[in-house]
Amino acid sequence: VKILALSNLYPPDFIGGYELGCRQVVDALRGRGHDVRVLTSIPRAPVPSVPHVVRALQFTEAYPGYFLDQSAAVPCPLPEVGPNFVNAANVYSLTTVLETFRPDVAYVWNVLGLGGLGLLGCLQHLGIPWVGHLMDCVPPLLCASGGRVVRPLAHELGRQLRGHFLACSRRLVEEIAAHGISLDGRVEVVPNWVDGPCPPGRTRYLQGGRLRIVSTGQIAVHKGVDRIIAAAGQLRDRGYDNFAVDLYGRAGDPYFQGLIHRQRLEGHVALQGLRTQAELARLYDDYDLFAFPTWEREPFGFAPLEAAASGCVPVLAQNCGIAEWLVHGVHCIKAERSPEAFAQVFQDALDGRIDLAVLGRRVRAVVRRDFHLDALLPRIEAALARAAREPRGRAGTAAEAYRLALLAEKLTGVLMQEAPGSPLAA
Amino acid sequence: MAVTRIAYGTPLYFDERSYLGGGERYPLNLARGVVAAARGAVAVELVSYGEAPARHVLGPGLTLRVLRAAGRPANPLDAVSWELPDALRGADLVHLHQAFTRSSEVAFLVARQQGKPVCVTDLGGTTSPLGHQLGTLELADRVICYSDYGAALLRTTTPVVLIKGGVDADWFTPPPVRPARDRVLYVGRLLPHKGIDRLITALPPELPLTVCGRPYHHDYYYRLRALAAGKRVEFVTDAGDETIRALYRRAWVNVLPSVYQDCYGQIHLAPELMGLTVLEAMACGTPVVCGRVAALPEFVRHGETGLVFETLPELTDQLRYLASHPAVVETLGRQARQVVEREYDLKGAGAKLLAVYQELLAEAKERAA
Repeated sequence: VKILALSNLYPPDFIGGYELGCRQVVDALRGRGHDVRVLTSIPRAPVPSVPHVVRALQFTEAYPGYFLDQSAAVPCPLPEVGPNFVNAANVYSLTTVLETFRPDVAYVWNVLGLGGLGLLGCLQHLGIPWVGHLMDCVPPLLCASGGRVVRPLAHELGRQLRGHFLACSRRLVEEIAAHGISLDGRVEVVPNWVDGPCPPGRTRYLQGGRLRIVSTGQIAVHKGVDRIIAAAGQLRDRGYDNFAVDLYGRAGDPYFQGLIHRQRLEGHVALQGLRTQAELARLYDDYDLFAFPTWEREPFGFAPLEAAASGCVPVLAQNCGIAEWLVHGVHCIKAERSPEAFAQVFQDALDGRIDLAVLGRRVRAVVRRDFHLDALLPRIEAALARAAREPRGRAGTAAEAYRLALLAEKLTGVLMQEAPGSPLAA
Repeated sequence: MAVTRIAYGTPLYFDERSYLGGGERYPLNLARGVVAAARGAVAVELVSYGEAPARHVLGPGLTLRVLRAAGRPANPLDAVSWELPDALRGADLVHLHQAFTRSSEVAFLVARQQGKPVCVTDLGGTTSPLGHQLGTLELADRVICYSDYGAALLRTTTPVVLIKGGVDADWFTPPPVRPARDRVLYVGRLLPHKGIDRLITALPPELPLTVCGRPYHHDYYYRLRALAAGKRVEFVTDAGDETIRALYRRAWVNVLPSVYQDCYGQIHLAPELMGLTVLEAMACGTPVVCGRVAALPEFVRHGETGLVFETLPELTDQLRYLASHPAVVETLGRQARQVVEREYDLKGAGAKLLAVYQELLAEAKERAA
């Protein structure tokens, strides 16, 4: 199958798991003999050129480095017209690639910041079947203005979307539906995955009588890092001293170090800095628990799964996306997203009320069996093949698609400038 | 029999609550003509904008849907609505009137995104430059023009179909018994590009003139009233169709003195793309006098259905001549009526337009198959 993958970023230029996941699937599909071309944005720093990756799109970051480095403030407001709604230049680039590559199907990843509505509209106008891979609340966010989803726009998008979707969790599908975009009947839930060879199994936990807890990813409030630190403080205050919490990731400002210092937890909690995915995979083997008190909006989360592949037992906020895939007390521990609840889990582990070896063995097994990309790829291939076989219906021309995009881009700009509340409104 | 549904996008609609102009009456007339020609096989819904959503049945197979306009655009031709996608969704074909307005540009996007065949007509109301800049006519399947002049202004590779006329010749008719003709008449909006100030200036002092229309430009209206001082000029600013028809029937002549440059110095590239009031007067058996401006000479055949003037003294002479030659007026008026019946009646225009729609719908069906 000839597949055109669309993604706002593509490694080695990436922000997080969404883009890394895209590359893993693209590599796996190519490994299975599919002809895959990637259309992504101009890199934010020089990267090596790869023949199957076309870096031609204009990308506006919703999460530029400055904001990512803050402990709490996550997204900055997009200058929304082009990035969120329609970017005619990107539509033009897409039509060019479509004309030369002539894919059987388009595989749409994260298109935020690319004028994603325009790209989807272009695919539909040209009758290109497409499959969207959702690891974030992308469709509603494509309809957002001023940080809020424009409900009528989202509703109309929901009515017009003709693609099919793979979504990493049911809760993500529900979140999208809550914004007025129902994917029912067009969505298949496929979890995130681990890729590559899995580390050897482990049998020993609580080595030296010490509980070792890890958390990796963005060091930010919405990921619950402050709650991990608070839980450590409560555990210490309950009289436990035999534990360590290591937090991996970029700590952009001194907020979390300040939290650790104020609670006098320097001996228990450490910010360990940024590591590569490969380095983390090796490090997980040294930890008993992976703490993941992330926000409810977390669609899935790759990191707990990668840790689980090493037998590191996930402790999950009970409402996040990955929590719906693993069974409490069988593969993981689920807890309320509070310092008290997480401190209790840590305490139970230290007191032997949680059998870490059993949980670790089971979760490692289930991850290898059900959450490895090798196991999931046939479902992804089937979804792409199904879409590619669909009748294409009426197809417009590339020139029309570009002209419509130009019109949409300019009209959107004018309407937003004149909208009540706009600083440019008369 | 499945009814074909056609949506007419029109930023304003012909009603006191919206706007009373030829650009609003024309789509309404065409819709009526199409419905009549289709004999129940086609339903047309006029889709327009207002403060509150509403739906009105205008007749068998003909409805008006008013969408709640989002925000308050400076120009009402720029109204848009979140309800538009829903309004167009059930249509088999979309015909957009007032091509170069934001309302139509948004409707273009929605209709094309929904995969509808699209026809478009420029009625002269230009509020947005995007259409010309981006060549939006290229996005249409057909451009419908109602005058050679209008067609000549367009730059597009999209097929252009010329369908002249669209007047209701069943309503605007000669009277069973003609009342005495006793006045010069102007019917239309009171706007600078209509050149009514020139008509009043050229009006011989002994002839009465009725100026009938809504004063949509207040400064211009005051200017007209000042110019009319000392002359036999009557302003009728609230006439309904009955009154207008009665005025047509008793006039020696209906004058449409539109200009390329108005009394404020403003240039109008297309002041008249047809002139519906010209055809209405002709349908009532009343001759027309117009300037050699834009599309007007296409519809007013000098010496056959009316007179065409070049200068104001010439206009003055023509008014005096017609007022004093009743036989000429009757002859020109009779011929004007015949031309309307033959060429410009809305039923004929509707039938021609229906043929265009049917061709596009057949193409769409073929593609879908």
